[in-house]
Formats: sequence, C-alpha cells, structure tokens
Amino acid sequence: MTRTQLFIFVAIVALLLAMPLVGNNYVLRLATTALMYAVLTMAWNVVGGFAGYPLFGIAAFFGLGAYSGAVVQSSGYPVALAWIVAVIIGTVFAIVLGFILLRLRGHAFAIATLVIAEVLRELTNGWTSVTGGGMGLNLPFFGWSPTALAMFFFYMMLGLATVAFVTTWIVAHNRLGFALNCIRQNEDAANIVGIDTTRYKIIAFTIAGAFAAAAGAIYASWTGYIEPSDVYDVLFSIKPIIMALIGGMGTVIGPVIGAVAFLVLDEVVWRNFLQLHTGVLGFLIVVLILFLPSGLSSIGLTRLWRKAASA
Amino acid sequence: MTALLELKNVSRSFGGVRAIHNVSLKLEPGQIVGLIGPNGAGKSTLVNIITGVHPASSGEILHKGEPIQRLKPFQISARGIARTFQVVQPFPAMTVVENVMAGAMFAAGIRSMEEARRVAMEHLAFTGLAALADRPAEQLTLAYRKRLELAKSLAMNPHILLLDEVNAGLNTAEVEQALNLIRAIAARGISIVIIEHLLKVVTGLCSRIIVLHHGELIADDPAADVIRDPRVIEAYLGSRFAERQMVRQ
Repeated sequence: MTRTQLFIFVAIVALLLAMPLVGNNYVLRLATTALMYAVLTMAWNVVGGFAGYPLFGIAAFFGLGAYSGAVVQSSGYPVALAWIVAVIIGTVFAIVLGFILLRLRGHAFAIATLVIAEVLRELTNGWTSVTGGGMGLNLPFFGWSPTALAMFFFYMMLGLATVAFVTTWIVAHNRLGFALNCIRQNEDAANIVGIDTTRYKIIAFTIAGAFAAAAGAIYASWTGYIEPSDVYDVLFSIKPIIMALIGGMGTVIGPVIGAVAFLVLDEVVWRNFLQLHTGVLGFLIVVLILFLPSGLSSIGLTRLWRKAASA
Repeated sequence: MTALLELKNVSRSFGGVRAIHNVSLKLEPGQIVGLIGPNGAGKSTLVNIITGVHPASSGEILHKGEPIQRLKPFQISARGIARTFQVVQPFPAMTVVENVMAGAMFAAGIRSMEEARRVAMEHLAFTGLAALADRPAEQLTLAYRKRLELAKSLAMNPHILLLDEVNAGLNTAEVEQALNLIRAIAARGISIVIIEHLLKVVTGLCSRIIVLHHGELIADDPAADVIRDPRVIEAYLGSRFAERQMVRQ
C-alpha cells in the first residue's frame, strides 16, 4: 500500500467513525446497509473475483448466519455468542460445501450454488420447532433507544467491513491471492505448477462463507425479525455480483466502491422515478458495465492524474 | 540402483479406447530421451499419466523407488517432475515474470514473493526472456510463449523435465535456439524426456529413443538403431515401405 492509499484509507475510516455524530438515523441506516452489502460483495469477491468461480450462493451463507445467530440469541444467549456461533456454523458449512461443489466448474458451479439457498430456505421453512418456519423468528428486543441501536449496529457493521477489507487486502497480496489468480486464469496450468487448487479454492470459499454468515447474523439482530423468504432471498446472491461488477471484480477496493455506488444509485433513482425505478436502475447498471467493464475502480486516481497532465 | 523414474506395465483406457497399453520403461539421471510415434500413438497421454493429469488405469509409476501413480498433479510437480504442454498454457493476464514466479512459489516451495521474483528473473535471463519480464504473457509470440513454458518449468526446480512438442510451430531458426536451450538445461543435470515430431531434432539431441505406436511401446533403443528398426519404419511409413527398406539392407 502506498502512502497516498494509506492516507485515503485512514481518512475514510475517520469519516465513517464520525458519521453517527453528523447523520440522522436514516443516514445511519443507509450507511449500515451499505456496509453490509460491502461485506457481502467482498465475501463474494474472494471466490467470484479472485478465483473466478461464478458464485451465486452468497444468500445461502447470509441466511444460514442470520438463522444460526437468531436461534441462539432468541434462546436467551448473549448477542456476541450468537454471532460467534453463526460464524462457526457458516465456516463449517462452507468447508463441507466447498469439498462437494468445487469439483464443478463454470455454469454447473453457478447453478449448484444458486440452488443451495433454495434448499436451505425449504429446510428452514420445514423445521418449525427451531426456526419458527414460515412465521419467522422474533429476536429479543434490546431495550435501547432507536438512536443507540442505530449507532451500535452501524459500528458493528463497520467493524465487520473493516475486517473483511483487511482480509481482502492480505489475500490479494499473499500466496493465497496469487494462487487464486492463477486458478482463475488457467486452473489446469495452476495445478501443474504445483498449486493445490482444491485447497486454495476451499480456503477462498470458506472466507466467503464466514463473512457472509457474520453479516447475516448482525443483520438478524439489527432488524429484530427474520423469515426464510427474507434472508434467503435470491437478491442477496445477485446484488453482490452486480456490485462487484460495478466496482471492479477481483480488486481490493472494487467491492466497497461497487456496494456504495449501487446503493446510492438505487436510492437516487428510487426517489426520482418512483414508478419506473427498477427499470431505470437496471438500465443504468447495464450502461455502467458496458462502458466500464473493469468497474469503477479502474478509473484510478493515477489515470485521472495522467489524463489531466496530458490535456 | 533404483531408476529415477520407472513405469511398470502402465495402461490407460478412455472408455473402450486403449490409449496406453502395458508400457514399461526406466529413466536414468542425466539422460535425454526422445519419445516419438505417429499422431495418436499416445505420447501426450503418457506424459499426462506420469504427471497425474490422467491417472493410469493400471500399472505402477515409481519415482526414486516410491509409487507416485496415486498422486495429484500438484504433488508430482512438488516432487520435481515438471512438464510443458503441447498447447502452451500460460496465465494470460499475468506478466511473464509472474508466470515464472508461480512455478517458483508453489512447486519449488519458495515462501517469500521477493525471493520468488528474484529466482524467476534468473530463469528469465537463462531463457532469454528477461527483457520481456513485465509484459503480459498473452502478448508474447508463440516462440516466446514456448520459452516461457520452459522458464516456468525450470522455476519449479525439477530434476525431470517432460517436454511435449516444444518445437511445434516454430521456424528453423527458432527451433535451433530452442535446441540450444534444451542442451543447456540438460547440462544442468536435469533428465529430459522430449516428445518430438522432427526426427532430425530427436536424433541430434537424444542418445536413446522410445517409440510408441497404438499405445504400445515398440522400441526403446539407442538413437542410431531406432531409425533403422523395421517396426518403427512400418509404424511411420507403412508396411510396404518397411519391406522395401529391409530388402535394400
């Protein structure tokens, strides 16, 4: 990381930390949502961006994390324990699933991961005694003021997003990232140069699962009520992919930029085109991806600087 | 003495097709062995079997006396058996030096990325690619890509190198350069098995030649004998030509 990058990073973190002091609950809620999607997109990016495996199943880990945390928390255990249990369950599930699914490549992998969330949703629906089934699950109320709650969950999401960002950076600048990069470009050649492709893919998959599950667990405590069709919603699988595409797949900063850009766009479009907003949003996304195939992060500061200097 | 690499009755079928049937051979340290045979004889399949890409259906493969036929390709690479592909397999979006680094970091097990880069640069200098180190691999010409395959394999720190048609598609001058490189690699004490179509190349380079035909080993002799062997002539040119050749002798 260069000194400029470090400075920008510190400035952004400082701004984020100070956010509750300047914003109202609405802004804070929006920011928490953005951070949550940033985590999901960073999670997706490790598998979809670095390793190049078309993962369509972030919702499975998100929902599993949400339900694991919610079940523990509603049984009367502390929130922190609930979140830790959720991360452990998400991690174990990712390892097991990785062993099975990472034999598949391309379209087959995409479809298989897409189905996992649907299967989990049906299981959650059916297991009424534990999950409450289709009626959903209420989480114990914290008994805090709305402002205190908004601030608490904002800082929790911010903490998780920071950990996810640092993890992404470490992965990208390490053997793991190098190996995933090789796997994305040519998996057979990667195997021949001595890369244990199965192992590295499972590690990537596990990182993705753990972070998505953590985000799900915090989300469940935050909203206070979850139901299967909410947390296993296919949009939790699709949106991170679109955000990564907008921001820049396989980059460190891309997922964060993409998540924020998407949500800002979504909010602006929704305010101005109430009737047509999904249509307009879709059109804007298509235009963005068409003209910026490597994402917003590819308009680096250095490139802008060079353009300005040559003009 | 145990051979460096030994194949015992190795066979491999794809469905009903016997691609390799009952092949046994030994490779001693420091040898350059030519592996020839008509198209579809099973030469590439044999390399794929040794490197674990397609596991043998039956038989045994011993590396320094230890069985390796159940190992995965990455484990075989780590044991010091490297290969190049007939169709070159670079990491296209990575730079030339990063491609070579991959071999140094994983098969050769160099932990630090700086060290891997330094080693990679040495191999690039050896193969004459140093000036192209920071180019994306996809920009290289075919001749340079073949050299990149060699550099990448060398970075894996092998003692056995399996070269699958490294000269295919090159012009005469490029072939000459490639041969010099192969001789220089052999001079480092690396055992080489080279699959080759150009007989001139094989006879000029190898002391020993193995001939495959329909997946079976039909000859394994010194180079000078192999090119006069009627079975080899028959496999390449048909039985009538072989008979004529016999009469003439």
